[in-house]
Amino acid sequence: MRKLIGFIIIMQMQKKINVHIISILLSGIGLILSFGCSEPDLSDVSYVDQKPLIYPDYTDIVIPPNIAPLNFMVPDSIDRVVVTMRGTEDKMKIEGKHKIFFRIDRFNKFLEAHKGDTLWIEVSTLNRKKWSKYLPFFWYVANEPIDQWLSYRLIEPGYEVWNKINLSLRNVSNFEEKVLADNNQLDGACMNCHIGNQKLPGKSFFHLRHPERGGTIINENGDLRKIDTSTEGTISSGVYGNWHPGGRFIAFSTNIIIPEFYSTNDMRMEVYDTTSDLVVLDIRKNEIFSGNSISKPGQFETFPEFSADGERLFFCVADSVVLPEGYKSLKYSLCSVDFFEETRSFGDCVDTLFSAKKHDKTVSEPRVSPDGQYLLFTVFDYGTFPIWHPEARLNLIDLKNGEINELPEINNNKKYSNSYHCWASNSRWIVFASKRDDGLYGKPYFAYIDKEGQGHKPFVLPQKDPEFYDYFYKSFNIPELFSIQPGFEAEDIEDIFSMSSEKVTPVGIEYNGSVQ
Amino acid sequence: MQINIINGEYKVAEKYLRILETTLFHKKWAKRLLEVLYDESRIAQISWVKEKRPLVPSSEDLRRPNEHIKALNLLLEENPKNQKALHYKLCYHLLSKDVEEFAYTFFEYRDILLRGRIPRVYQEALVVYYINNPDLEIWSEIPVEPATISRFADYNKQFERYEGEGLKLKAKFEETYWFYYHYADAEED
Repeated sequence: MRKLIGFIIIMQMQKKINVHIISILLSGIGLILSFGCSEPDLSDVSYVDQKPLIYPDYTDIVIPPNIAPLNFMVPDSIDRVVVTMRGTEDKMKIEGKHKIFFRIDRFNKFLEAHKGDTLWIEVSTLNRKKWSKYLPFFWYVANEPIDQWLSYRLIEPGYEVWNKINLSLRNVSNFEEKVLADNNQLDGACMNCHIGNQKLPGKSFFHLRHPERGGTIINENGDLRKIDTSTEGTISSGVYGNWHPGGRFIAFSTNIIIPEFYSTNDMRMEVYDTTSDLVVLDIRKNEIFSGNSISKPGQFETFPEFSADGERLFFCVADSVVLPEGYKSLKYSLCSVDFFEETRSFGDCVDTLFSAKKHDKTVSEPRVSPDGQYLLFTVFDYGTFPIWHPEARLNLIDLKNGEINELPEINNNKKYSNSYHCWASNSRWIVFASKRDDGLYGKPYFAYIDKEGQGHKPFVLPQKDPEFYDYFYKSFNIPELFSIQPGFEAEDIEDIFSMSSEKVTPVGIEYNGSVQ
Repeated sequence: MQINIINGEYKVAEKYLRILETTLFHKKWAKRLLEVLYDESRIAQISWVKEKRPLVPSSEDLRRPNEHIKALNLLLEENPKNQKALHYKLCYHLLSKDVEEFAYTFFEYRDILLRGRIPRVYQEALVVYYINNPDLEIWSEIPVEPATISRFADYNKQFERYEGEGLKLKAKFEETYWFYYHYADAEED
């Protein structure tokens, strides 16, 4: 009997415990349900006849199938945001307070399943207990992926001095970033222009500027060399440069660069050259050579770029003017000349693709699409350095017929520069640095160029936290796409920095920079 | 951030104000500015904006980062009454030990400078310039205090007595421009 009573007491206790557990579970479910209740009640939702105001602006864009999640936010005054991403195959619902974070694996799979298809993004927001539903916007998922790696220099957007700068590498399919070179490990050396070779993706170079241990770092699949490209026969060491597709040559400008401030407050800075020529570095022979047509007396040549087949060299050229007085009449045309790899020489006939005189504009930074079809360049009012020119715009030349496309879809910002652009290896994507958001901080923007050469609305490099750019105080300089990782680490750069530089020999170049 | 607002660069100013908005001591100030940030008429009424905007040069020119005198001249061309720019320019010349340029600038702006008491260090520099240019008519307009002149005479006497040995002069004359002129190492820009 005592056992039975004991059993009943235990049963009752267990019952109580169970009831307690059940009540906890139910309250939990209640909590879940209460969150579930935050979903828009369609009978009590206001339909807003416009697209939602989101940051970054990812509305109505073409995106690569391998891009990192396009996390975004609505104004922080919003109490709750619900997003539905609908494709023909699937749909995905995400909720947040005012930020939307997609799961990387689900986002990547979703995009992969919808290549060549349109996704519709519906946004509903809760504000003061009232739901609003906005017009959907679209993401068209292109078939062509973007190169997975993006290199850039991070630097405070100052003018003369810097505290910390580094070259970084971002995986654009997720949010991983690593440092490729850091000035803290390099005695404060400045570094710039990390440029890849789209035809031979294991090759890249960049400059380290340091009074004793500087040089141009040549990376060939992780094997690093440091070359001092300055010679007594050239104006300076190599500055703006690009690879020959064969990987043996790099064309450089050699310049005397002068930065000057504007006195007025509508422009910040003008950077110009008081002299410049072009040279080519032969990395096999460690020799520098030039040619009459690319280093003419009385002309400033700069921004060399080889054609996709390596048989021509594009460059910008201006008649010299008295500087700084004549800075507004310093205008560069876009030209090209034959390059003969076997004889390391140039043709005599220089073609003009974009005449500064005819257009009353200047150009810089020609970059040829790896398929050889197009050339992307920057057009602005005067000078050679576009980043502080608010009117600087990207233009595209069809190299088959010379037609110029002013790319209104890409230059859709009212002001602030679009410049320092680069093609993806499949020629369908570009990245460029744009100051469009605030006029000061450059950010990498991607844009799709379709097979007909039409540009599409750009979008900024996605970050894990959509608020990232608000609290980031560095500019992204010279974004450059790589289809494979450059095969070196920051420690490798630290090692080679401590080593002496290889020297180069000028071949057929006089002391004053003109050709013999 | 204030410079950005003065220059009308509101987007950049907003970026910095958003940070200040989260700080303990500046949040109220930042919130107030954010409320009016894109309202040009209200921004223009802020005292420091009102004060600074007329000082910004309106004629376009270029200057190199180390062309400090050109920068100051541009400010003075825009507003000759810009006291800060004027005193920066005068002091720049003094620090550079360029007494001649200092004197030229002082004479050029004497109408403005003579409205108040001439700073002691300016008087000391003018005495140096006077030694080499005593015959200029302009001296009749420049009121250098007798105490400065007599102190300069004392400095010279001591300088000769100690044969230019700076340490012996330091205790009494360290604060004078003459001591700086003789003994300070002015760094090249």
